[in-house]
Amino acid sequence: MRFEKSRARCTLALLFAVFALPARAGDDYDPYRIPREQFRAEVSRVALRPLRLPDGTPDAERVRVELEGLIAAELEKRGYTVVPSQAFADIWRRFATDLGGVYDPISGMPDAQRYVLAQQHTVRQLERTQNVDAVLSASIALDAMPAYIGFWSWEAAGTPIRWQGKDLPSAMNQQPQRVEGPYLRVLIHDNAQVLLYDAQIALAWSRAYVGGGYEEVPATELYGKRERNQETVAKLLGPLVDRKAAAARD
Amino acid sequence: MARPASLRSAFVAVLALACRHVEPIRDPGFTPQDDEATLWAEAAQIDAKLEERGHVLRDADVESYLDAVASRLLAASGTGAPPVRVRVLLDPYANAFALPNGSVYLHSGLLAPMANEAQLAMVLGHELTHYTARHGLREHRAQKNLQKARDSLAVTFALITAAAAGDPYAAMALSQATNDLAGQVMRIQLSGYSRDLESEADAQSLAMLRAAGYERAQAVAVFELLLADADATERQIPYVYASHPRIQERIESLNELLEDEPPAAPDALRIAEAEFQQRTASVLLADARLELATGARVPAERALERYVRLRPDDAVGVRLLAETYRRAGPERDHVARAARTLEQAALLQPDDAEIQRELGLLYRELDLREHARTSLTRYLTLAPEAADRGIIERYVAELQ
Repeated sequence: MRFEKSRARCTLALLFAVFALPARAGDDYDPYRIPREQFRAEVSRVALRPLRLPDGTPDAERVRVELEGLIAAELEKRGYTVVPSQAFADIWRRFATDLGGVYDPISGMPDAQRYVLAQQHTVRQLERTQNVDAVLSASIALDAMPAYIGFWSWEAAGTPIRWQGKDLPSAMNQQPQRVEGPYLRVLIHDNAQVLLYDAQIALAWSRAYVGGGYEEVPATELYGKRERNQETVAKLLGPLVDRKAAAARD
Repeated sequence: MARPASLRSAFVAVLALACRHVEPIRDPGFTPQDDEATLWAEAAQIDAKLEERGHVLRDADVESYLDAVASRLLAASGTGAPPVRVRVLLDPYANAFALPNGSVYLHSGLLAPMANEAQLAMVLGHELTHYTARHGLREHRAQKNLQKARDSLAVTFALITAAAAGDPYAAMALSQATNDLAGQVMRIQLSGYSRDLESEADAQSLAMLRAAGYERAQAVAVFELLLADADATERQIPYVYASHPRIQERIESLNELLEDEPPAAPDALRIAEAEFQQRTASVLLADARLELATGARVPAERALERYVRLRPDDAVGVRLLAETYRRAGPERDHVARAARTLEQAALLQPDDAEIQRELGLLYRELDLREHARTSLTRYLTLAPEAADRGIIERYVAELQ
């Protein structure tokens, strides 16, 4: 009887593996919002917009510079010319001043009309002076990581959740109920503000609710591992058309 | 215990195939059967939602034209079916569909590349056949019966397994697995079934074209146009009107059907290109807007060039065409073409501040300083409260 039960469990596990795993693999996310060939034909020179980080990020400037550098390197590796974020920032600042400020000084919220105008004029100026085809906006925001059936997508962050010094899940009763982490998101828009590419990936886990309380990673440790940051950016921009390889094929 | 369940599965599957045939709609006073009435009610809800959410082009002239072409086809076919309602759905992807209640929707992305009324008639005839032959009901019944077959098949296998292994867990899991297998078999059957219906609709549509006096060569021409459009835009759309292999398949089957048909009567040559172009011009403008919003500049440019030829006095279309040219890139040729086109819009609407602003910015890009200063100054005069006044004033100062 004992043997029969364990055989039944094995059958269930096998069937689960057979049916659940291919379903996940088949649901590959496509970050493109236009056909890839169109992207390849239209985008070669990309301006970076300064990376936006959550308020209170420790050592924010260093994190911004490192991640922007990794993004630029990944783009250049694929044959794109990158205009550093400083160009965008300088032009934006000038237009924002001309517009009398884009953000409300009290609420900190952007004025919708002025924001759009600053955006339009900045992109136009970048197009005119730097021949830019598209603008890449990267940002980091904290969010909960969704769970699939039996799987947590924190795996995308590349680091296991640790609780009381042990990697999770190490037992059924130690499953975290909620995992949060900083997501790095990349949006590429053309000069007419049409969204061309949209992808996001978790950089790390920052907080997990497990064993009746929160297990936290200190904010200072979140963006400190260059190798992991590099791996994340490579995954994020992995599907991007490789212009060098395509040109070699042509 | 397992054997009767297997027999039941086989019986239901045979029943599913047998239920495919239903009589076409022939009577203007046609009333739907019970299950069909439910489908009609659902279709009416879809109609209401599409209207409510602003997905339908609101243009009475286009609607009356499309309804008239549909009526002409129905009258010529002699089916006696009640009149239908044809609407344009604001969607840049080439597609069309008919709901069981006789509501026919043509996507703006399907109408935009069409050249004449005969081509429209081919597509409309096809969709009208789905309605008059009650394909919606046939598919609904087939699906329902196959669902029953699928359930029975899964239960049968589960029972066999449970009996063999004496293990309810394994039986449950295998039942689920078998259910998925049955689902796949069903999908294959349905996919073949749908193709039958599509072929039937194409054949009936050709018959309608002949009866209504349209040039039947346009039946193939419209699919060749759509094929070229699908290739040019490189979109991977599974719609029957937008997928390369499916269009290719239909061109081949239409050519075969045309070979078997008797020669057309001398008067069966209606193409009605000019009337079609004029009556559906607004679809070009609406579709171009949608194309631009999805970054598809080339089809937008094509549609707008046709629109401006048809409506040269519409400043909105001319202005949008200029915008499309500008989006081609910062190279001088593109900017100059955009400026030339926008000058026409400025002539049509000399007091439009936005046109002056855009024209000034284009002249600035072309380094036509005097022109740029004049247009930007005029913009500031026409829109003294403009939110970007600070930026434009700086430009004007720089251009001095």
